[in-house]
Amino acid sequence: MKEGTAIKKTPVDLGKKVLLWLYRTFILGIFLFFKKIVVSIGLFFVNIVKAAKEHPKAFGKGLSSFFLPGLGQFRNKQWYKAVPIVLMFVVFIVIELSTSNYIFALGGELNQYPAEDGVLYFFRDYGGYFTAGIWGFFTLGRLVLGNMYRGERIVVNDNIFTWKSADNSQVLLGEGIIAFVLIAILIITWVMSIKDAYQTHRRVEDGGEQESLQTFIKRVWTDYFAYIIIIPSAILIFLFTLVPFLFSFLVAFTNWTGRISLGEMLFKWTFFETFGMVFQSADWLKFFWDVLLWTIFYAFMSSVTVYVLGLIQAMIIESKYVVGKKIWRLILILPWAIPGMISLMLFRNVFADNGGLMNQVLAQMGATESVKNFLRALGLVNQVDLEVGLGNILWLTGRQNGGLAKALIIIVNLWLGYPYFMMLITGVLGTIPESLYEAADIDGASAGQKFKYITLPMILRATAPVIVTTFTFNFNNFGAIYFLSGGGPGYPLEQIPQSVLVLGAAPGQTDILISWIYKLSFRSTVNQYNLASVYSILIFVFIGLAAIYNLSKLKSFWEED
Amino acid sequence: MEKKPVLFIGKFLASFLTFGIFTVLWIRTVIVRSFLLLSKASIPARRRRAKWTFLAALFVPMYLPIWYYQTDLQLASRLNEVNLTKPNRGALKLAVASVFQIALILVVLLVRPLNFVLLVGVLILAIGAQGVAATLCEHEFEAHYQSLLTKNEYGIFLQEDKTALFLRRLTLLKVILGIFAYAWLLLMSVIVLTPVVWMISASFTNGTQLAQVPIIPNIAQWSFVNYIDLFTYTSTTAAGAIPDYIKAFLTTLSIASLNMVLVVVFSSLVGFSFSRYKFKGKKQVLLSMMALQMFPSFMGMLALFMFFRQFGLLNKPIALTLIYTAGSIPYNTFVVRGFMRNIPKSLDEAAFIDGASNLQTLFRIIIPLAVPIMGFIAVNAFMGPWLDYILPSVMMPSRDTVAVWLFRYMDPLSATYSPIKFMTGALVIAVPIMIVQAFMQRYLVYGLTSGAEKG
Repeated sequence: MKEGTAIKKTPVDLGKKVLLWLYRTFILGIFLFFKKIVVSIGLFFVNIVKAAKEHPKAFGKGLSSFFLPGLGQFRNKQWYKAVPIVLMFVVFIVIELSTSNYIFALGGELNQYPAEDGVLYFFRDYGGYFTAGIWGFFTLGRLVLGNMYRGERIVVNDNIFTWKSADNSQVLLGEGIIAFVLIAILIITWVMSIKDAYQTHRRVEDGGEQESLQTFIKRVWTDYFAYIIIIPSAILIFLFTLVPFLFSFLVAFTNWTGRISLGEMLFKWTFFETFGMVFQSADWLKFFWDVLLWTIFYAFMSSVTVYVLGLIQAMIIESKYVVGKKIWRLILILPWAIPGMISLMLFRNVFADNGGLMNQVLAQMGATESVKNFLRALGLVNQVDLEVGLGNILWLTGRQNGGLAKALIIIVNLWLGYPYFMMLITGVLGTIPESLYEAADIDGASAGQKFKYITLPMILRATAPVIVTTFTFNFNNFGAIYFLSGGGPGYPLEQIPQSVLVLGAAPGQTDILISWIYKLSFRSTVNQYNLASVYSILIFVFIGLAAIYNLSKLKSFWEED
Repeated sequence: MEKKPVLFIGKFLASFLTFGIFTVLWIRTVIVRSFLLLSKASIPARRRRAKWTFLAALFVPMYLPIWYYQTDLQLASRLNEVNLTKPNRGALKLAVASVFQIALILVVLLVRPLNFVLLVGVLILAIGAQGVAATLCEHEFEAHYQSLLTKNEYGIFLQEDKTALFLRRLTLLKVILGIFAYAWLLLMSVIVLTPVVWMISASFTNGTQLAQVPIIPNIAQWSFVNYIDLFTYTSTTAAGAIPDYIKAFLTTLSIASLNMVLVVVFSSLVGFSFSRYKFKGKKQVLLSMMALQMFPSFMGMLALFMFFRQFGLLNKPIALTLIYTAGSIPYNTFVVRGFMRNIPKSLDEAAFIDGASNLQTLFRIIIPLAVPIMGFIAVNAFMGPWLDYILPSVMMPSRDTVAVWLFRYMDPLSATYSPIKFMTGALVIAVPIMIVQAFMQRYLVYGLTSGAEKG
């Protein structure tokens, strides 16, 4: 080691480091991102002008693809490229036209049912899938059951005059998203066809071969193989993960709750109104802070305790004093082998108020009172709860003090989670080279020193990303809360503000964000879809931070090979 | 270093004589005492005494390392191996060990006079065995230690010996640490096993209330009522209907199998693409996948539910499977990518020179080498859907999977609410899963460590 490399870490240095990291990742990152966008747009136009000046013929072919996709390819005598592109556009146009009612508008329906007071939603009434989809996305519908429109009453569903059917905001939003996505695909194809027409001409101009169908297919198959094998998975992820996430996000900017019975009422874009309610109303803010702090505390504690116990177990089992390592490992790994849901529900039974194993054992041993006193001394239980329990300890249901339930959740999580780290660290221990310890022996290091300077750093370095991953996993560990405590115990009724109580949307004392979101969207008396979405976005922000941190630490990820 | 058969036999004989008797005695005492201690039926005075013997019995395993250590010390002192261990400290250790021995005898004497006789007998036997062992080994020991004592010109011993190292490094602190280690492992094992044993005992209980489950399993009273009920209960009255559990099991089995196939195919393709090719947008895609894998798929569940309802996909296992597959591709892609990156690229290049196409390289070279990681993914993908509750409960409201069906037993609002039956059903599901886990442990651990080192 060089001299002077060991700089003492002071808190100031650490603070500076954190600030620097934040600056680099966010402020600088965002700045560079926008700079890149601006520069690339500028370059794009510069390149177009350059192309038009230097290669007018090739540019002309690009231009013809711009006006009529596929025309440029046709002029390049590449019908096998032109046909799919044209076909794609034809399919889009056919979809648009076949789902539209333009023909009725031309057929005089507009005169027969004139717009009243100038209110006419042309694309709603006559537009096809894409135009109506975009209209629906922006307006989220205008007319509901019972409204008067163009002199007629709106009904639930009218198969002859579709414009007489009521709007359903949720369907419109979903169809809007799909329409946007399909249009984006179309535009990408279009841009690619322009580029292709231009480049093909240039290649021929430069003396290249006119590609035949066979060589084209072969070239695509070899050069774009990487893309081709991704496509099926991409479509799957797109449909079943990305679009639903997008939908959930957009709902945050609407006022959609379960109170709006679709067909009879509409929801609309309210943009940041729901965010305002969450962050400005003291009632909601209190719950939000409670839940958020508990979520962070839970995620942190459950990751750290699990790691520490896993480390201790691995060290003890691997130590030279222990005989029968395999048997100990087999027993201690058991919680990992039992499926999580079953273990959690099992513990729900173990800590059941009436007849649970814990209460039974304490009663048998006559230790209930002393445990009660112990918990009281720790400040985890409330006298009222103890009296309500009638001799039983309310482990997970004590309303007056959620501390006991919270502590139990972390302990049970520890029971479930430590074997993973035990195995992980055992694996890492095997990879530490023996020579390090031998060198330390020669230098006369004690066992404690060896642990501090060799074992621990090696383990930490190998498992650091896993700790962050565990944190993010626990942050969203819905099952650990839902199956064990169900989010309960609820807050005492007098502590819940009226505005939250009427919605039935109050979280339980052990609810973390994700389980509260579940309650808000599926279980409360009035489904607060928009609120749930707002909290989803907040989760994205928190997890995103952790993800960025983890990625910036993970060098192997960025190493190109 | 040669093995020393006599040394080994002598130690083994001595160990067997004392350790064996001690272990048998100890296990018997712990079991009997704990029963006495826990059962309400026994007389208070007896219970109080049982408490003490129980504690004393816990002390006994601590004696074992002391005994082992004494044997070695005796040998060392006979050979005057002062070079190997500091003499004064050695004497101190011997004294401390003896104090422990005497303290143990005193404790037992105070609590159980009858056991005292037994204990003294065993101790005499132990000390005798120590002597026998030492005498038996003396010759071998001497030669062995002489060779160990040879130093080179720098004053470093030429040979190292585990026993010698052990003796040299053994301190009282370490003896206590060793005792602590066993006590800790024992405690942890009890904590791990207790709920599981209770669960098993509950599944064999004929009753409906948790309170009816005995704390200490009583095999004589076990009944199979719950198991029979589990496999025969049918909610519909139609003749020839398949029992609910079997139906749920088959549904889940189909979901899990399909998911396994899809996930293995898709993620090995994507992983192959990401590990082998450079292409535009690779980093962005990887980054977004990294972000995606951190969010549970049920965050988009509301939208999925609405879409499914609109397109008539509710209650369709295939549609549910696709959600699972889409949700698990990102994570598995990373696992596969990490593995495939370690397969040398020269293999691909050689294949390329021989004229193999991309597809041939994938199927003939990469896939055969990536079988372990694909096994890991397959097992994970197969196990995933078995006990997932939320998605199926929303997406298949009128068709049960095993988890949904199990959860109903734990739902106080349900008509079939019965925690005991839940334990039965859970056990029936958990045991096969645990067996699969046990068989696949090698792959699982492999997947873990590869994930840890390479990210």
